[in-house]
Amino acid sequence: MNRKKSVSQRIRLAVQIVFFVLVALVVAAHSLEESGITIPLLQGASLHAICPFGGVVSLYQYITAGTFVQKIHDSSFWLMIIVFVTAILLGPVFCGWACPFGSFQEWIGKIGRKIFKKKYNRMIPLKLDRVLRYLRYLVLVWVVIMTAVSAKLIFSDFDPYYALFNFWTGEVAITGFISLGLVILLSLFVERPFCKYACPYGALLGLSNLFRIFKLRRNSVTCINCKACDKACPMNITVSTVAAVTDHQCISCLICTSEAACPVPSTVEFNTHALEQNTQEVAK
Amino acid sequence: MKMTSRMIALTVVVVILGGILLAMALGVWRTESTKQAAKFSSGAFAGVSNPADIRGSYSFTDVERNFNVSADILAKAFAVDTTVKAAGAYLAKDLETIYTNVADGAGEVGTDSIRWFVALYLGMPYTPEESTYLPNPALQALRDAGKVTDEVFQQLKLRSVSPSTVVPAAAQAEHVESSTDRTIKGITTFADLLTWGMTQAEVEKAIGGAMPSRTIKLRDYFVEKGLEYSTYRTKLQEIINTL
Repeated sequence: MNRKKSVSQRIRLAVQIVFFVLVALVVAAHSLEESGITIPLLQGASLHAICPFGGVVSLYQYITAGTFVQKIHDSSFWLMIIVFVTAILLGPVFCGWACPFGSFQEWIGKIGRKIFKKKYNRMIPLKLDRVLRYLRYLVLVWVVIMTAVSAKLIFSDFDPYYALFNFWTGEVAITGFISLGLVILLSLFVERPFCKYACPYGALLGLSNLFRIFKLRRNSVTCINCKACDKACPMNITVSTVAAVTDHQCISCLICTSEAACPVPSTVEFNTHALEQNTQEVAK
Repeated sequence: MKMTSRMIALTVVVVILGGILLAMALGVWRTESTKQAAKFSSGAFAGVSNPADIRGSYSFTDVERNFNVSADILAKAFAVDTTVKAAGAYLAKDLETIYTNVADGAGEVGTDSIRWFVALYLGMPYTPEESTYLPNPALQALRDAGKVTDEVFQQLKLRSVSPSTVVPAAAQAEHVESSTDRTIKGITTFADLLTWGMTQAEVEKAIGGAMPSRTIKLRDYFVEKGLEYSTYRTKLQEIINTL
């Protein structure tokens, strides 16, 4: 990855840091507010209130009873809509650029990458990995059904994201801490293990890869088949054989693109139309 | 049309943060409950606020506003110490901290207890969770107000606990222990006397003055007042034995 190419990932890192710090500050401010301390210019909110997935699990209750699930408020609903807009445009860009827990796993993963080098993120047998990738849909179905039935945030007791940003509050269940510990440990071997195998919101947003307006496309004419894109993909997606990535696991991180891993300009990029058209127009 | 990393970064920041700012500007960005309980949608109570929707973030004042059950009644029913803070300032979820492990692992007193109490007080349908308990003064308040029959009262006693007031966990454990054999000991508090069936008026008559905070131990109270603890202990014990 040359200097120019690393710029795109530095931009992404900056955005990830902004969202991580913002969420941490808002949640910390909320805790302080409950203790009677207010931070100037910063309005605190619970993590549930600023989690777009809260809107998703509240949908059933909102439609049937006109109310939100406990601890969920209008803000979760608006965030759900906002993130859906970004997903329609760019796929699960929220996962790759904004989700603080995705970023956290990625940063832990850098330690794993240093330890295991090329073996990192390639340790789970392919057949097992393929099956496990669908586990998150089972989690999604379970969470949505159980939340609808109980009208409670069932997942929060198991949610490592909630545990990470609330570990000091005494409100985290032991199962939450176990999940968090497990994710941290697995992140040393696998890139974004929670995103890949367990995140219910990632599962839902992943479906947008099938219909996003800007698709991640590969120009088969200019592609030199070096597989740099495949090797770079944190989600282990094979980019080098497809015209457009529709894999439900893509997080729109741009690591595989010509702005980063791909050595050939304008060969892997986000575009609304097939890249071969550009090549043909240039040839003419 | 091509999307570069810069454009994506800009899109993510503008759409997400801009969307939030827009929602704020439109006044629809709410990160807290409006403290307006949902209403029954059908049945005899259609259109009336539903106790099942009481949230942990509701203060006793919020409950009073929604259900017309006063904060003072709630404070008395759940034996919270109003010398620490005003009755209306207590949150439903505070009970979970106040009554930690009070039911000796068998259950808990918390937000669901408030829902249950309010429903019983108003004669509304509500099925509490299996682990939900009520403090004894809550039962007393329901009976005194004529909200439950003796039969229901006896059933409720099976899922009741002694009140645990705002005291350290260790003291709470002592407190629960002391309330089981109805014998006044050095650790007995005024809250215990109420639990054992004395009314506040009876206590005040016996001690010859206003009852202090319920969390105060009898021995500490009389020593501080320069009164002979054993005399009052005997007097109070005799009353307790008749109840």
